[in-house]
Amino acid sequence: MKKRVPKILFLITGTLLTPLVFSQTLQPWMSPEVTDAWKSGFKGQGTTITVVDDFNSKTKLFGSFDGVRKSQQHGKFTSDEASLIAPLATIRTQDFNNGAAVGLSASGLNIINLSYASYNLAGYSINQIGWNNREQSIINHAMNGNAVVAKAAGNDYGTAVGASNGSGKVDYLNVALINTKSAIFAGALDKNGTTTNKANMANYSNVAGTNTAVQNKFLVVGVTGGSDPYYKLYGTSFAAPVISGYSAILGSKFTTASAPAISNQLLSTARTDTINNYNANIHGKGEASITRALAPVAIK
Amino acid sequence: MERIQLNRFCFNKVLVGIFLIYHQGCQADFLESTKLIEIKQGSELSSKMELYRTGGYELSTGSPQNFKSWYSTPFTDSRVSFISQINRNLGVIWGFSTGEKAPKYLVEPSIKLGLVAQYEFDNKSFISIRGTTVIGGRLKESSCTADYGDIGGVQQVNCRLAATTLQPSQTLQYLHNEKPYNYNTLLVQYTKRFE
Repeated sequence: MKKRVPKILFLITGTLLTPLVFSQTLQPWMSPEVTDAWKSGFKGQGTTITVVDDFNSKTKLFGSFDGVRKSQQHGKFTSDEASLIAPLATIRTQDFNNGAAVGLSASGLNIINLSYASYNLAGYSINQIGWNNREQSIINHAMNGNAVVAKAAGNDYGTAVGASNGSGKVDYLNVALINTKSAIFAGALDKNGTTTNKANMANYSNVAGTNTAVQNKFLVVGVTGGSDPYYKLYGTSFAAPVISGYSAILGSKFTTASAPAISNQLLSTARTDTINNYNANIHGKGEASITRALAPVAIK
Repeated sequence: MERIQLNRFCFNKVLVGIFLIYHQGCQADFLESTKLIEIKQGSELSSKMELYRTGGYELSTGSPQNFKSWYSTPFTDSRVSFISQINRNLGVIWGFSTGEKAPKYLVEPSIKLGLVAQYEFDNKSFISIRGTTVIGGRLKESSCTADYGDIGGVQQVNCRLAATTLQPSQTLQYLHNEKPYNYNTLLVQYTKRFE
């Protein structure tokens, strides 16, 4: 009998950070590379980001992304964040109460943002897990390379993706996405790194681990607190939307590129020189770099 | 008969001589009436491209790609202009520029032609009208061939914009292709000398 896995959000503990705003201005928590990417005007148009998250529950988080404090569900913050990175991407939302398969847009790049986990006790094989239509469709989309699936790595304080956490539980959605064509695991750095001011792994973030299949699918991005000293962004929930936004920007430039090509571009152009003591077991491929991902390999 | 032929021969020689004397006289007059009015190194189009020499970006590998090698030239566009007086109230303006060439752009050489006319109201005031046109001198920027690898393949692209979010084909419309800044000018000037 297949085991159902409950979903657990990568809930923001503590207060959220920088406010969300629907304006095309660089927010304090964004990498400076985003501004460079925006200057030419292509900011994700023609792509679709589907955010699967909590949009309807009574559980609201209090936070601020743009200087305006809001009280809203987790999914509204993650979708807003992705939209701030790629303002012209189409954002679709699917609430956890909707177990239907995730549909994809017929045109342009599709990206699916997953800022949640599906935990169960360790010890099951992936074949024993009984996914609902929604998760099965997401896994299929990643398997078939139909969509970039940006998956939050998890907040189990250094647990390797796919391994059991301190409570003896495994995020089986992570496990299911490991050997797919177009999934990316998003871990969190404590800031956006530069070569002169390198970042460290956020202490809560899961890590890539020794499985090279995970390492080759693992990216880290800066997840920072805003200028407000009382509200901080916390969680790999807010790393995944950055990857989703980056994917959308790439998809609007390379309109014929497939989801695997887009995800591989982000993975292959990640930087290791902006991370203190870079280690593939921790940081996977490194820090995502949208400016390098947009650039040619060679030019003459 | 020989005398007639000899006379014709002499007459023709005299005509050529008169023409040569007259031509040399014209040349002398022309040179005397021609003045240098402009000598300049650099132009607006040259300056525009000079700004790009300090630019650059990183390739996807992290290697730097500087624009200096694309937009540097050993010789800067230079121009000279002259005015040659035809009569008391009319003159001709003429000149040329050298153009300049770099690996990724060309400023074509040019010729400048114009007329200047003046009318004196009295011994203290006059009006002048000056019109010039430049033939050639166009700035043309060349594209680059960029290899985007598996995600985008090999494409023609604006060298400067290859690493932006613009689709490669969209960058080509931003290649410079423009006439000189002052390719047609008309100047009307009134001058009055104070006591």
